[in-house]
Amino acid sequence: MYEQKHLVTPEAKQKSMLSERFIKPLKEILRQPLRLQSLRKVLDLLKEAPRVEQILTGSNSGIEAFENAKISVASESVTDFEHDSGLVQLGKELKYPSHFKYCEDVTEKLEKLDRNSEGTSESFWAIDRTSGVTFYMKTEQEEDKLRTELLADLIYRKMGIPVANKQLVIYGEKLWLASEELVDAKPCYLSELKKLSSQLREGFVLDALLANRDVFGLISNSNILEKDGVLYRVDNGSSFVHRGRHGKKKYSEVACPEIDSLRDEENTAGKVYTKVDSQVIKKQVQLITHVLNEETIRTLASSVYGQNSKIADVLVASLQGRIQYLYDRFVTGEGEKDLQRLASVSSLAETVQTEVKNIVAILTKATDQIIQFRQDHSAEFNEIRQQQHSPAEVLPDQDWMSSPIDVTTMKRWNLLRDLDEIIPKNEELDISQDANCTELISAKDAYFKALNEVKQELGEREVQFNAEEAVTRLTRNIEQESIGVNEELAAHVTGFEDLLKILKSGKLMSKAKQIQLTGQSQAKVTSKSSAEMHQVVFDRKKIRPEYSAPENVSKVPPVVFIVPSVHLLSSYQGMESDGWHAFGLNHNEQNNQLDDFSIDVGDSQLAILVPEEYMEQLRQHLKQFLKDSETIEGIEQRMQIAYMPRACYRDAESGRLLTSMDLIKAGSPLEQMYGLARSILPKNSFRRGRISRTGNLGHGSASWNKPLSRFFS
Amino acid sequence: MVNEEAVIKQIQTIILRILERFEKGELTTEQVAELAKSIEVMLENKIHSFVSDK
Repeated sequence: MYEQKHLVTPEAKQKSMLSERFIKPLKEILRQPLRLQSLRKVLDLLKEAPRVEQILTGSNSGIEAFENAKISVASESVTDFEHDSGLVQLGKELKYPSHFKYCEDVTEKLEKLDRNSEGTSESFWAIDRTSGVTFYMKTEQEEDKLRTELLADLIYRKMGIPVANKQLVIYGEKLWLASEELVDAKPCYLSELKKLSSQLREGFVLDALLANRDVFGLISNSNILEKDGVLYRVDNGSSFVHRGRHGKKKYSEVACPEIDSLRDEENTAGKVYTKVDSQVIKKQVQLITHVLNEETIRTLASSVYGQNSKIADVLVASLQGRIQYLYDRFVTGEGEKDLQRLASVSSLAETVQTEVKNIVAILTKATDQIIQFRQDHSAEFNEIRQQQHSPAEVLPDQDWMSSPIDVTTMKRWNLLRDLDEIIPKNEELDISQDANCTELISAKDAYFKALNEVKQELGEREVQFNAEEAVTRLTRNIEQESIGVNEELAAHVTGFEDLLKILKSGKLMSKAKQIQLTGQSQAKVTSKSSAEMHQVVFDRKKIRPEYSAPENVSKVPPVVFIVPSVHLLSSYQGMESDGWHAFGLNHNEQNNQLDDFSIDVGDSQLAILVPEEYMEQLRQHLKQFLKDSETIEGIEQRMQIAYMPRACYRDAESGRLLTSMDLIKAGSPLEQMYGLARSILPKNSFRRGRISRTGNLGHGSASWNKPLSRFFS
Repeated sequence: MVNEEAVIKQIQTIILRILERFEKGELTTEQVAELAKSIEVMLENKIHSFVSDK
């Protein structure tokens, strides 16, 4: 029997949770000196106390959302949010009136106006017969583009960035976006925007977060309208995965590369945003982290996509991933610390480290020798200096043959010749670009400084080397490469017969490994030359259905194995050619230590996409693998198998099998396959790393005997 | 002379007292929210008066 004191009522539990998670942290914050803005935020939280009480007794995500908000307030107590524009207050929600219900049929309500409508999509102007309000109506071939634009708008509004007042409506049985006219607003073109940049900058991080690359439009059109001094972002159609005009663009779910690209003057937005610095970004990211917690983003996404929408789930997760990236990089600085570590020699493979360290040693020795050389010949250097010859007289590109050669010139030439003896030859410093690191840059910096000092005295042209720029370039390249790898999925294609064999062996592995383990080449239909028998080829950014069957045999629908590139490259070695030729981690041809590629069926990082026309056949086959009370669906889930709709691999009309070219041209089957794989694969968080040589060679065909690389993170 | 910093400090103390009363069970979350709204008005009035004085 339990004693009374061990009984905790649900009410008491809630109360203690509220106290631990809400009251105590707030009290801690209040005991420190606060700034006005932070105090206001504390009051905002207190006003939400009843809701917090509900959240804390409800879902975990609610608690996390609240924890995030709380941490954010704590961090703001030492951060001042001052805005350089009085017209826009970042963080203060903008509320607009609703003219229609969600997706209301307005066909009868609106009257088309005879007014020219600009823009790339199908559009017209209309007036609401009852209210007299005018709307700019636009629709797209892809409904999703209208929805993402509205979601972007709602996020801007939540953060206090002015946009047009838009709603999703039905007109003539189609989905349209009705945008309330901003009466008497003027378009702002790029030249004017530069002058108004301080107000626009308030929304810079949001533009980047939403990947709204065409936020300002192009030179000839304008997506910004000005009314009473306030600038409105009226066309946010280029947000998320969509391009401003048509089609889709690369959109990272784990990082936010637009934070750099939108500041690059090569791009339209960069002309306005070029001077936005890390401090401004940090403040905006802090505020965004505070306001846009998971719950808020989910609520906004549900208001556009409805409840339980998979697309909304993906968008919410992507926004969280992108916010986390920005937070790590600009607020905590963790991302930058990662980059510094990755830029160091210690992040390279051991054999490459040895190579780099040798070169650093050569450069350090040469630096010392140059300094010594300068000391040993100080008398001659002094003499040259006293002669005060103009350095221009002996520049190598001058016609020195015809100029008079005096004793000092002779001495200078002799010194140059002697100097040439001690400086390392170019081939001694030869190292491939990917082995660059901060230690090498520092060694080069010291070496060039010493060398330039002497060269200057001898009237020689100096070597231009900016160490700071070199480090920045290196770290930003590592960042860009990491983003690229994190975005990528790698795909290996085979046929249904092979799939059955792979399921039987429980592994997707190289031909050599198949023979080693099963006594025969069991799983690869496509004939492999013996030179390629230690690898499994994965394509990057494409899927090649042709590999479903060997040459000269009728093609069969493709079975696609998909692995995130980050996992592939950090767990195996890859030789890059048209894709990644994956080998085992210890695959080293030079010392005959061979370890081939092999991944288990059911590994969380491996998705298996099977053409739906094989579903019945495969399910019959899967019965032999059933464990205890497992269902067929259960085993499919365990083995991470999903069925591809016919549209992914067959032409809708003729039924012929799609080729690589079809997938590239049509675009959507490829995206559908990747989307399917992403829905199975776990959501990996952003991993920084660099693709670097391992020091081993891959042995494909002789012409492909290239160094193997790995993603070192 | 009363300045912005002093007002902020004073309000922090008031909120701390409210939270303590809540912990003792003397106030509900709804009452805390209502008090927060009143304090907000008071705070904004005080701050506004500083701005006007300037």
